[in-house]
This record gives sequence, structure tokens and C-alpha cells, in this order.
Amino acid sequence: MQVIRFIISNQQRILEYTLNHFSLVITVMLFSLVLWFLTGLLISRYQRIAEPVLSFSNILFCIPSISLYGLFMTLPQLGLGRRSAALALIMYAMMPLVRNVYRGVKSVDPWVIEAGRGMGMSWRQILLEIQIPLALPVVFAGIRVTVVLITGMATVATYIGERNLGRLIQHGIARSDYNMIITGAVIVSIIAVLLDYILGLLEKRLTPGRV
Amino acid sequence: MNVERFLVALIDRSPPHVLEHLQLVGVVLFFTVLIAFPLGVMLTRPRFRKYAGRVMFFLNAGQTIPPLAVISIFMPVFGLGFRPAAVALIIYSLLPIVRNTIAGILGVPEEVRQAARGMGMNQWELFYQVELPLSVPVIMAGLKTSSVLLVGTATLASLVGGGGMGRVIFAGIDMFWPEFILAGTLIVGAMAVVIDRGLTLLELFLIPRHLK
Amino acid sequence: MIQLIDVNKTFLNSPVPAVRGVSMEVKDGEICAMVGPSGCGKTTILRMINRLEEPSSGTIMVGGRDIQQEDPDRLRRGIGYVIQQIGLLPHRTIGENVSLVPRLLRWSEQKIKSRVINLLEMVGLDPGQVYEKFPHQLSGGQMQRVGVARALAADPPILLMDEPFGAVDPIVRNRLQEEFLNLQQQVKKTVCFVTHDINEAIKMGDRIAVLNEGRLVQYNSPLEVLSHPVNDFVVNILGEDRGVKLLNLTRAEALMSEAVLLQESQMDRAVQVLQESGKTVGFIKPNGNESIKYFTLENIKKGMPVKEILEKGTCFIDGFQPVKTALETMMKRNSDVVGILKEDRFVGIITWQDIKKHISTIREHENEC
Ligand SMILES: Nc1ncnc2c1ncn2[C@@H]1O[C@H](COP(=O)(O)OP(=O)(O)O)[C@@H](O)[C@H]1O
Ligand SMILES: [Mg+2]
Repeated sequence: MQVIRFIISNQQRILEYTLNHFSLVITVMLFSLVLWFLTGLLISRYQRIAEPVLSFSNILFCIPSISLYGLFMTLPQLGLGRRSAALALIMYAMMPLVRNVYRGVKSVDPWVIEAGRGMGMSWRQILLEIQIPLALPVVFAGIRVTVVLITGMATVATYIGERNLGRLIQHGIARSDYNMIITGAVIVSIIAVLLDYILGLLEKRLTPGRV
Repeated sequence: MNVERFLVALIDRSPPHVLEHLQLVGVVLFFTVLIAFPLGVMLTRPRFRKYAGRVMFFLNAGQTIPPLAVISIFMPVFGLGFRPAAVALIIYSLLPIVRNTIAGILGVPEEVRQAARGMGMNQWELFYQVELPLSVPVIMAGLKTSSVLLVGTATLASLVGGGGMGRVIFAGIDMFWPEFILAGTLIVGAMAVVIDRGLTLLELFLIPRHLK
Repeated sequence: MIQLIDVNKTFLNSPVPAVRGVSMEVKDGEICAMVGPSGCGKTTILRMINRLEEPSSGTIMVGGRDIQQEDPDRLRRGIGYVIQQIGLLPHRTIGENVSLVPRLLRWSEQKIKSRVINLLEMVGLDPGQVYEKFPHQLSGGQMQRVGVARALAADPPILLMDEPFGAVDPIVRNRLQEEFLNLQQQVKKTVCFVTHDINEAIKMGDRIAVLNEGRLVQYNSPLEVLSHPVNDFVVNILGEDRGVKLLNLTRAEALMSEAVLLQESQMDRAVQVLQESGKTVGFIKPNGNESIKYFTLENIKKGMPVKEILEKGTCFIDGFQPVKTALETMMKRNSDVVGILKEDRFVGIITWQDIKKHISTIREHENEC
């Protein structure tokens, strides 16, 4: 009840934080998808660089989120706020996305590719018509994990000046205001679940008739 | 980049927080395994299997709550300090282990299970001699994922007075000192690597020879 | 026509050549069955023909043109390719799978659709039932039929088949083999058919290429390979029951004693008539439903009586059927002779003695090697 009263009396602020949070997540996802999808394709084609790239992404993933935010923040080109936050989150998205694109492409039955080649499909056609469509379920799994992850991690960016739902939690901790913490947590979870759900629907549309 | 400040952070400020961090991670891992592993095993037993879906649903939903929120959620109950942070992190770390325990045990091929039953193993022998050894790799993978994530997330414990390497990193953020952030990060990274290696060794010890 | 001229292939990471100095020619409309133990280079040869592998040296000509001069993708679109694993695209319907190459060649939708329906019928599938299905909804045998249909889609003159029926159970395999042979009667493709099963090679091949350790050991008709294996390796591949296999390949008419028709009036000088005609068997035109009466030169010289072929209609086989069928008929009817028909007319007989003599000549060959 108190939570609802809190939300109603702080509508304006909460709306601003929510929109900021949402837009950060969307920006990060769009950049990450393009960047890490291409990286994943690249390393599945050039096997030699696959291992180092995947190891690098694993190491990145082990660094605490607050560290990446902090380090980027102190770079003069990035500074406090959106740019550092976005870049750090894009780096985090690398591991689940690149790994799943790579795994997805690699998991395509080599005999299907052999048959495609034998019928005279060019490597571009094989990539576009066989490898990418067949990798989609695994890629989607990666995207969904990433969205949930990024939505949660974005809250921490409040400590480098990003005005998003993390701020509710941050202030809630500072003032021991339980309602603020709950409000922030619940809205973040709703965004995560919603994005995951939408991606699930999209996945169903894009991957017909598979076992 | 100020080398002197970096060394201060590394040598002077960090050591006590390293201990706090390790203590936190150790306690959390201990209790997580103590809860998650039996829970996972129980959910694969015929009697409870029907609840597996529901429990997994709640754990998955729990995973969408941002770590920052999780860490602060027990503050009203336990106040500030080590305990709210530890309890929060335990809950946060449960999912990967429970999920992988269930996946590992249910992943044992049905024909192997049938053969074992056919040789006259009872439920317990089946679990202890067949299901458990064969699912060790998957369970250990879950434990590793969980531990590595935990080492990083535990930096947030300092926000609720739980101490740990977060103290050094947040000090760096507050002062705008990259040296402190970097020193803290390196130490946390090293811890993650050490724990990951340690668990890999443990795994080599536990995994049946033919699966290596 | 496919020609291989002194083709060699050594893989980069392998010390021993996979294919060594293979020269051979597959004539238009013929099935060449390549057979040999696992690892002898069959697949490699096949994959060099559609340039999935490049030979280390030597020339391969398809339709009189050096394939080295052609664009690999274009070349492959003109060559059907069937593999044991089939490799159907799991995310495409059967219709889409079969129409893959025509689409690559940019045929019109109209033409593609009717072609696909036509093809599915040709390989024994019901288009109405399978067209919209996905591969995982079909049985192994059905999938392999789709594989063949897909390879034939753009009507390529050449078909490469790598153990195409290797993954299905023996009963289905037999049916697929028969169906493919029937299909080949209509489409008359130039086929390279790889198998490790000598029986399949004998059954499917107009010619058999026996390979060992990358070398072409023998390249002949099945009859020739069976009756004149060039060395122990081929004898071994052919197996213990070579003689029986040969009986399967030899037409009954090849062993029969031809018969000549005698009028009643000629009966008293039958020996003379037979000798004049150069035949060893004579027979008398039956009245109505009577059995045919026949006699052999030998018997009549000894003054033995005219014999009747019992149970008219059951103790006859067609001349183009294999000797093995004659043998089976004899055993079933408990008779040591069967009559041979050609276009429903009695032309001669084949006896147990004839078959025994035939087997013993094969034995002699065998001992020679
Ligand atoms: N891509 C490759 N790289 C290295 N060696 C290969 C490759 N493909 C085949 N080989 C080798 O070449 C030989 C012939 O192989 P293959 O043509 O597949 O035999 P078959 O089809 O008759 O079983 C084998 O010894 C095999 O190990
Ligand atoms: Mg092969």
C-alpha cells in the first residue's frame, strides 16, 4: 500500500527514471546486437581467432559491473553518465551474445551445409539461408539472457550519475526507505520480464516448424 | 594515472577488504551449495518432480530482480552489515546451481537408468552410483558460473555495510580515482580466476575418469 | 560423360595420398558403382567431381569440359548430389527443400511448383501429403526419397550418390534400390554411386569400380568383375558366395539348350532334324491345354521316350530372369528341368546339369586367380 502511495506521489520522477532505464537498455541492446552478432559470425568463420575472442569476453564478464562503470567514468572522453554506462553494458553483453552466436552457428549439422555446398549454394547463401536461420534458437536464448542481465545491471549505473531506476534503490538504501527499493526493483523486473516475453514471441514468429 | 596512489590502494587499503570479501564469498558459497544441491536433487526425485517447474519459475523470476535490489532487500530485516548482504547473495546464487543440478541428473540417459534398475539397484544406489557421478560435470559448471558471478556481485555488499572489495572500488568512484577502481578490480578478477581454477581442480577430482 | 584422367589427391594434413592415379570414364546414362573398403577414397573421388575437393593433380572432365575451368557453384548446380546423411534443411518444408536448386537457378514459381510435384511423385511420395511437411516429420526412407528428388530437381545430367541408402534398414534399402533403378530407366542419368556393399554395387552398377587404398583396382561390368576378378583383393571383396552372385547375374537364356519345334510327321527322323538344325532339344506342339512334350538329342539316341514338361505354366521362367531363379524353380517344383519362355513362347530348357557345369567353370576361374 505504502509502495503504491509512494509511486503515486512520485509519478513524475519514476516515469523519468523508467524511461531513462528503458532507453539505456534499448540503446545497449541495439548496439550490442549489431556488434556482437557480427563478431560471432566472424569468429565462427575464422576459427583461429575464436578462442582468444571468447576468452576475452569471458574475462570481461568476470569484472564486477561497478568496476567497468567506474573505469570508463574516469576516462575524459566518457565521463559520468550515459556514455560510460552504455559502453560498460555493451562490454558485458559481449560474452552471452558472441558465445551464443558462435555456438549456434557451430551447432548447425555439418551435413546440411555439405548438402547445401553440393547443390551449389554460395557461402553467402549458406550463411543467410542455412547457418543464421538454424542458429536462431540459440542466438535468441543468448539475447534473452542478455536483456535480463543488462536490465538488472543498468541499475548500478546510478552510481556514476545515470538517472535511472537504480537511483530509487540507491536513495532507498541511503535513507533506509524500503518503499523506494521495492518500487525500483519491481519496475526493473517488470521491464526485464516484458522484454524477455516480447523476445520470446518474436522468436516463435521467426523460427517456424522446428522440432 | 598515479602509480603511488595505485600502490596505496593495492597494498595499504585492500588487504583487510580482501579478507572480508573472501569471507563473504566463502560463507555464501557454503550455504548456497548446502541449500541448492539438496533442493536440486530433491526436485528430480519422482515424488517431487512435478514441483520442479514451479520452483524453477520462481528462481528464474528471482533472477530478473536487479542485483542491486536483491542486496538491499534484507536491510529492513537484518539492518546494515554482513548478514543482509550474505543472505541476499545466497538467494542470488541459488539459481545456477539448482538449475544445473536438475539438468545434470535429468540428463542421465534413460537407458542407463533402466539398465541400473535392471541390475537391481535401489533408488539410493541408482542416485549415488549412477546419476550423481554422471551429472558432476553439469553440476560443477553451475557451481562455477554461480561462484564467478558471486565474486563480482559481492562488491555491491559494501553498499549495505557488508564490507568487501566494494569498499575500495566505491571509494575510487566517489573520489574519481581510477587507481582505486583498477586495484580493486584486479583483485576481484584475481579472486574470480583463483576460485574458478580451484573449482576446476575439484572437478577433476570428482568427475568419473571416462568423462574427462 | 565423366572422365577422370590420372587423378591424384593428397590432403594437406595427411602423409598418404587418398586417391592415386585414378583414370576412368563413366558413360552417359550409365551407373558406375564405386565400391571398396572404408577409407579407400570413394567419397574423395566423388567430391572432386563436383569440386567440393580439388585434385592435387590430374584432370576431371564433365560433359567434355574440364571442370577446373568452371565456376564451382555453377558446376554444382548442374550436378545432383545425394549423401547418406541427406542434409535436408530442417527449417524448410519438403517442397522448399526439393525446389532449392531450381530457385538458385531462378526458375519461375509456376515451373518450380509443377516440377516439385512431378518429382515427388516420381520418387514415390504423395505430394499432397508431404509437400508442406518438415523433414523431421518423415521416416528415414521418405527423407532419402526427398534427397533423391532434390538432387534431380533441376534435371542435371549427372548424379553423384554417396552411400545414399546406407542409413536405412535392409527392407527399405531394397525398395529404394529397386525404385531408383526404375527411375533411372526413365531419366537415364549418368550416375556415380558410391557404396561399401558389394551386393549393392552388383545390383546398381552397369559397371563396377573397385577401389583399394586410393587406387582403381578393377573397372568392369558386374558380370566381368564376378567372373574375372583381377586379383585376390577383388576376390575377397566379392566374398565366398561369388558363384551364387554370378548365378544372379547370368540370364537363364545364356545357359539354356535351345529347342526346335518338330511336326508329328518328323518324329521318326527326329535325330536327323535336330542335327540339321544344330539344336539339342526338340518339342512337339501341344494340343490345347496339354503339356509340352520335349526330348533331348542324347535321350532319343539311346531310344528313351519323349518327356512331358509337367504342370504347364508353373515350370517355366522367362529367359531374361537370372539362373538363380531357374534354380529356385527347380527346387520348388522338385524337377531337374525348367522350360524357358521368350515373349510367352517356349524356346528351350535349362537343366540342373547345365547349372552345375556353369558353377564348375566359375570354380575353375576362381582357382586360376
Ligand atoms: N578432409 C580430409 N582431410 C584429411 N584427410 C582426409 C579428408 N577427407 C578424407 N581424408 C582421408 O582420405 C582417405 C579417403 O577418405 P574417403 O574418400 O572419405 O574414403 P571412403 O569414402 O572410401 O570411405 C581416408 O584415409 C581419409 O582419412
Ligand atoms: Mg565415404
